[in-house]
Amino acid sequence: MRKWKKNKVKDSLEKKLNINFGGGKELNGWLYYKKRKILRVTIPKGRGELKIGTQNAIRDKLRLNSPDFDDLINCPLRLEDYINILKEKRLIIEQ
Amino acid sequence: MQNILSQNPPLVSKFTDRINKLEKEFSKFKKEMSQSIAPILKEIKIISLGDERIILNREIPILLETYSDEVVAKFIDAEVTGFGETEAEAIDHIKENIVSLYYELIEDENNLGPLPKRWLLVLRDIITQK
Repeated sequence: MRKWKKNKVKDSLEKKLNINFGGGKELNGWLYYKKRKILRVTIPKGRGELKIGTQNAIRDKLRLNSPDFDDLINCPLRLEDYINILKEKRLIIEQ
Repeated sequence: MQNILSQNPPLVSKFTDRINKLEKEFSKFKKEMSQSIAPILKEIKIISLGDERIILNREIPILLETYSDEVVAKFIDAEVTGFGETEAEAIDHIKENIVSLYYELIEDENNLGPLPKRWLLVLRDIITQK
């Protein structure tokens, strides 16, 4: 499993999924789709590599398998692709 | 053996290279092993979220996943996590994250997707606002 740096993951989620992180001791951010809250992701503050349990928990929250998570952070997986994954999992339902 | 080696520098060099290679492979293997080891799992119950605006109607079950260098706390039903280097830190973080999730769900109650709707149901069942 590829290990990612906290900043890289945070930057990718902010830029690609438009998640704005804020909060207290840890960073929490929402994924919105058509103004609806869809998923909430928690990332620890600080720098350095994400530890394995933390990275798995973040990936799990995003409902992605390891290759898709890597693609999301690394670039190939675009917002539209990710939204389609969530639609397939019925986590986004068009009204 | 020492004699044979001292008389054969290419052989020494070959052994040295081989040992260095094995050391590197072992070090890599050790790192991979430490990363792949399954966490120790423990369930605890929390009786307070440490927020004066809130009363818990019942205890919240928290799953603690302890790895060699971190602890991940999870409230599975509402998909809340807290991370830390120690159990106390992870528990402190998850408590704060549960409270913030509750208020973030309430403030947008009419604009929630399927998952957040479920989380709000779970949290309403266990939380009463003072």
